[in-house]
Amino acid sequence: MRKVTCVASDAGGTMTDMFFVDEEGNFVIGKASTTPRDEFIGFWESMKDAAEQWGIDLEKESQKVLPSVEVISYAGTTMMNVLLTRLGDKIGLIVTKGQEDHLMHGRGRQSYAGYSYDDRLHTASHIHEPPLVPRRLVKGVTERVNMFGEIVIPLYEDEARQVVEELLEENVNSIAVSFLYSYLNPENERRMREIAQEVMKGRDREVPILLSSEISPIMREGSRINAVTLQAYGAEPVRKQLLSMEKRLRERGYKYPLQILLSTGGIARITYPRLIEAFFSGPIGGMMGARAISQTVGIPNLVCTDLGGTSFDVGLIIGGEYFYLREVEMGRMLFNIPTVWMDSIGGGTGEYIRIDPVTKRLIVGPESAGAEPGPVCYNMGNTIPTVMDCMLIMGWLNPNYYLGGKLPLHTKLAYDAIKEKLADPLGLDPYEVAEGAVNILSNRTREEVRTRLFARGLSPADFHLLIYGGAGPLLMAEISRGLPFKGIFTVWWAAAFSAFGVAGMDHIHRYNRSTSIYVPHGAGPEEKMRAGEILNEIWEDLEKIANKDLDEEGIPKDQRKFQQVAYLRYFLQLDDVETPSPVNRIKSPEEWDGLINSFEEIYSNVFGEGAKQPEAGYQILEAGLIATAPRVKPALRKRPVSGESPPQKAYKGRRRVFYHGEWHDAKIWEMELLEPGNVVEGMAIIEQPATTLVVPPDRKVRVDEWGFLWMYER
Amino acid sequence: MEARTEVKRRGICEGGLTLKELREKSDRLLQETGYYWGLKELPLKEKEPITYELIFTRLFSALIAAREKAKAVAASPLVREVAEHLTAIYTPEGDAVLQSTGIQVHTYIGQRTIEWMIYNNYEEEVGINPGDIFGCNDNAIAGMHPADVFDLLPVFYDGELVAWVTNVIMEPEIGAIGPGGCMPVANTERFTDGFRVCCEKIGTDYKLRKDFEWRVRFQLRNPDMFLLSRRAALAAIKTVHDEIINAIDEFGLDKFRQFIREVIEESRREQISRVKTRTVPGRARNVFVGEYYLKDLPILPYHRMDMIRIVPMDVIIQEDGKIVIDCDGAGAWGWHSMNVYPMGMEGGLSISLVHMFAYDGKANRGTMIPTELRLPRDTLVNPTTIALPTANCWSTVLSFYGLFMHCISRSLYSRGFREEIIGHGGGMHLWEIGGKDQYGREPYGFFMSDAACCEQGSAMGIRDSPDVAQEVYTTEPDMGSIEVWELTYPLLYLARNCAEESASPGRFRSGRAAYGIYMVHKTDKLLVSAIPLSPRRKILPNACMYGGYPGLNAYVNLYYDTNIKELIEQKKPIPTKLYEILKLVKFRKMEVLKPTGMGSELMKEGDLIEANYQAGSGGFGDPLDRDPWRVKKDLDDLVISPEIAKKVYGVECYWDENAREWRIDEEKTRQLRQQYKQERLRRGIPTKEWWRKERKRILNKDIPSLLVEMYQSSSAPHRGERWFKEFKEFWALPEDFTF
Repeated sequence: MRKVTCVASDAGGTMTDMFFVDEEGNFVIGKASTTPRDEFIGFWESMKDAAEQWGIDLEKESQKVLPSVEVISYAGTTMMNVLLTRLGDKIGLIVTKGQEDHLMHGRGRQSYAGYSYDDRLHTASHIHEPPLVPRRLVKGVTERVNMFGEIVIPLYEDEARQVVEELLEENVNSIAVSFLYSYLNPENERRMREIAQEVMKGRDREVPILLSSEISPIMREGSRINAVTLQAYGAEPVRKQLLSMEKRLRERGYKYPLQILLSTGGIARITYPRLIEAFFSGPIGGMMGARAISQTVGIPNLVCTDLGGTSFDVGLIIGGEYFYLREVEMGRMLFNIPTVWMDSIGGGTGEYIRIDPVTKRLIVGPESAGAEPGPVCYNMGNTIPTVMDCMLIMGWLNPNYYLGGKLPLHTKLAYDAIKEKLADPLGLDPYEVAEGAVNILSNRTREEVRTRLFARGLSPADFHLLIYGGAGPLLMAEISRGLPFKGIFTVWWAAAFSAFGVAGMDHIHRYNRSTSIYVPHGAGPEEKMRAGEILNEIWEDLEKIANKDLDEEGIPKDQRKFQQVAYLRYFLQLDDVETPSPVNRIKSPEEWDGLINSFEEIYSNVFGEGAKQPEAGYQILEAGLIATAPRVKPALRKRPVSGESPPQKAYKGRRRVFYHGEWHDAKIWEMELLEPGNVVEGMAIIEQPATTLVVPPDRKVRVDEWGFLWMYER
Repeated sequence: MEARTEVKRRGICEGGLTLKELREKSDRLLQETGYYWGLKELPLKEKEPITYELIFTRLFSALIAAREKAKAVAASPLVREVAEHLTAIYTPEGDAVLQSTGIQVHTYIGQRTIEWMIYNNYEEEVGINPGDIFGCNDNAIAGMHPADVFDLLPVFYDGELVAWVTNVIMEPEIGAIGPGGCMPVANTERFTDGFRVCCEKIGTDYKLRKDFEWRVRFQLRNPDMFLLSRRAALAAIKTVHDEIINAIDEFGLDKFRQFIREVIEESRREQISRVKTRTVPGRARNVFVGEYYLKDLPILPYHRMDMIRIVPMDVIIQEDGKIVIDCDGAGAWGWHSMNVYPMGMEGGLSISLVHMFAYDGKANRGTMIPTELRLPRDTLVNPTTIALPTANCWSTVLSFYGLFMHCISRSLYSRGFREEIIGHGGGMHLWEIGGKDQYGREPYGFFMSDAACCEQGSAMGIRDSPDVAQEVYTTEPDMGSIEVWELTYPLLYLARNCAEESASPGRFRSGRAAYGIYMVHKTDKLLVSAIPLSPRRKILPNACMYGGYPGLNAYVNLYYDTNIKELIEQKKPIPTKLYEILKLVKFRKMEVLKPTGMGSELMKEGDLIEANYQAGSGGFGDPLDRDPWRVKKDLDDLVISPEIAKKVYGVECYWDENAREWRIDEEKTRQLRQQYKQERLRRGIPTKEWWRKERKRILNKDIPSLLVEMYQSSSAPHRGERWFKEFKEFWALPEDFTF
């Protein structure tokens, strides 16, 4: 029997994708519907589907198969549902007195967070989401730390006892604590926890106490309150679900802890204290996969694009690594949780198409038909055309091969809806309108890619474009058109690429600590060395913490790698730049200068030479450490290259396809049967049960030795 | 010395036209045809709609990217924390085309800056070349107040000027007279209004000029922050500049030119269409009242006087979709910082149109074409001298346009678009500080802007307004973070919360207002100065709609020599709610900061400031019509007390200890509401009776002298002939009646 060594999942809102890897690094993918009420059901079904590809009946043979699995990891967007549906735990929140209304008024920015451009400008549409904690369960305690981290008002311990009593009286299941500047000085928060524990001991009732200084020790109190609140409100209930999932996997033969993907890009056991980091990890599995490809194949700079039914995600890999955001917007709230940067934009193929009654403009999105009711062609009751309906009538999609034929698509319904709702009112041909709508979507996605590059002062000429997601290969030519990328490619497992990414994860932990360093312009060697010593001390401390964590996880010492970082800015600036230190300790003024040079190089690349202001001096308010260690992962292997002509078995026949205002007689190919070296000339369609690659007349696609599909101009 | 030979150049615009010729051509085509650029048809949009959208998306994406870039470079929390900036594209002759999100009040003002350069022949006299950066913050040229600084970059393609890109950032310190140096009230001439960049060339070759940098360093209290703002602006405008070039490379210059003109004409048509679709033709009226108490201020003796001014507004919606705002009857300007030049009034109108009609990203010159502002000369809103300061012009503009939106809301309501109503946005009592900061830096000045960036919203037509999440001058308000603001000022927040009972009652209530309690920290030298952004003072504006109630008044109180440190040492309660200072703290002196006043003493460590920032916006509809379920929710959320539930909303409620929530007694509520309505009828008097009484007072001039002077100012024939005629008609006054 084949020995499965690694299992990775990506549970989306509608489908749970599974990725099985064997001891030789071979892999297969599985899919099943997500089951939000009990995620394990969908998770297990998806595992069975993947196992089936290798002829394994997991239901019967799990006790033989799962003991050999070294890691099962979980990632998913479904955790976000706890936040979006407000179905979390009953918790209490304790804040610095005078801030009790924070969750009610949030920040003005949260009243339009996540909105489309039109709605951001449309004041009448702004609204705050209901708070995660009812106002009655938010309590204030007198205390205060100032901007220098000094305690100006000590914790009022009587008040602290009183509010804990009140919250316990209300039967809260946990208590979150967030005080001002606790990221600089956590003393008051820690004392608050001790008092809460004393009170609980007296009442013989214990609930977890979570501190913002431990969950999210980063500046900006609003995002920190949100983070610790969500940890208590959502992460702890989710942990219970994950523990139950782990228990059931163990009952079926799995021997190790279940792992989760974190927004920081690492994986961790489900007992990991800052489980909130797993909430935001949904879209980033793909970034992990892209990084694996980047590092294995040797493509340092990648623009990663993930196009699905409801969203379009864009991220960057530069020099084999991705970027981080330290404050993210999720579920219309702000959280200061370090997260691999990937922008999620409305823009999937499920977007509705309408005509603006006033301007007569063709409007694509932003709302999407989602999985229910789905596009018109699903025949599940929707009558408003979507982009996918357009692609179907244009012949891009095969009505009998969607999800391998499991879901038949109704072309006539789609055509009628496009004609009646769009083409007739505009006096245009239905196919012309369909193509226009597809172009608007593809143009928007292309502009998003361009914007992400331009905002950072980068040029497509330095990047390869990797396209994935079920719908990505459909618009492969269009997303890249006019952008001079070095190369454009996708993979046959594009539809389960995020799960692939999760399977390919290394252990990565990030550690940050606040500090306060200022070195003026023209500083002497002593000032530079003083700054260096502060950094060295922090890095040393963080390495101790990292080693302790990695010891607990059983990572051998010789496999550990540490990267020291400093967050540099010109004095007075409010944003900083994550700057990897060229050395692990600063031992001379020249090495300090080396760090400054690294910062200024990154800074001027992004913002331009004219934006530099060294006269202001340099400031560091945070330093960090990135600890990594390798892990078993799917092997990307080269295969022998055969001739340019694809094998006959890959040829599926011909289909009429509408492209650039004309009908073409396109050849249809089966994606998984193409072999390295094969070239497919446009106009052609390359199909796979979960994805479709459109090759326009002016393009051709070549399969390389890794099995990647590269698109070129003919 | 060798004589230089001047070569007469051709114009820098398309077809060799000069900028002035292009401007005149645009104006002539509009005047002759009624269509922007004479565009009766929109060939690119109609025949190549996809290309049209492609260019739009391309330019718009660049604007968004640019805005984000600026945020990362800036040092001012106003940019990074609450995004008080904007990037925009203009035609070569200065018409607004597209803009990013942000403080869109400035979109139209950028146009006036470019026009200034055109009419002053910068093309030849100053030179407009690729890579030149121009700066402007002079409101006599264009702009609201000096704190708003424009950076402008011309975009050339094959030697032709094809567009302008601008960025505007609000600065928290602008070198004005102290304390604060941003929006001082002790400021009665333009010469104390702050650092001026009078539409000058401040950079070349995409870099700031060294001489400009030196001028900044010599004239501002915080030059590094100001210069980083310029660098942030430069990062933004260069990004858009490059992307325009790329777009022209891809689509061709002709299509780009066609697009920027068609998008303006499209917006003109959309504006007309939206007004016709959503409103009812007719006239809605309101009046702005400004109170200026300057008698006791440390200003030039000949400017020390109190005065009240009104600016009446007739908002006329014409059948052809045009909106006219007639301010006939506006009072005279004065030697204070609350005057507004017409460009500022245009800015206010342009952002109001974005709020109410043009929120699709294409608000531009075209949106403003079917509007007309009638501002009588020699008034608060159209002064006759450029010598006036305008630091606090927002005092007038915020409330004026809040009331304008109130008028438009009434028209929307009449047409059934209740969901579009946003009403009047209240006002704020802000302040700025000067002296020494917590790092020991002196001189120091900063504008206390967190609450300015986000005020309570007025009630909407179909629901309550969110707390602390509305603003007239931007559609994207935000208060930012305490932990960021405190890095910039020597104060500790003891509280930043929503004020109790601050939601203005109504069938739908307003959002709640923010308040702050501060302890002066790590300084012994701090002076507070008021920023009067339309706080309610003695005369309430008509902010409520259809029977809604007004909310709280705004105030700032200063407490000197307090015992707060002792209280902390003894772990006794300290104030975290409004009015608690009076109950909990001992102090030597308490002072109410007048809306146009200054602290009388320096503040130091341990002194307290209590700021109830926001003047209540109005409620919508009769509170007795409020769904009791909403009242219950407000009780559960601690928004109102049971007393208010009963007294104002007529709701009888009780606390359910088991369910841990409030319950409504429906029968008692019905009876109580019935009883209140009958009491109202008993209290009321016939309108005619009220009218007779008031008329008598007018005839006898039985009104305060400040108001007599106010009426005299407004009824001067050159300011308010029509207004005064209507005034006399309404009150049936004799033809020869005067004030």
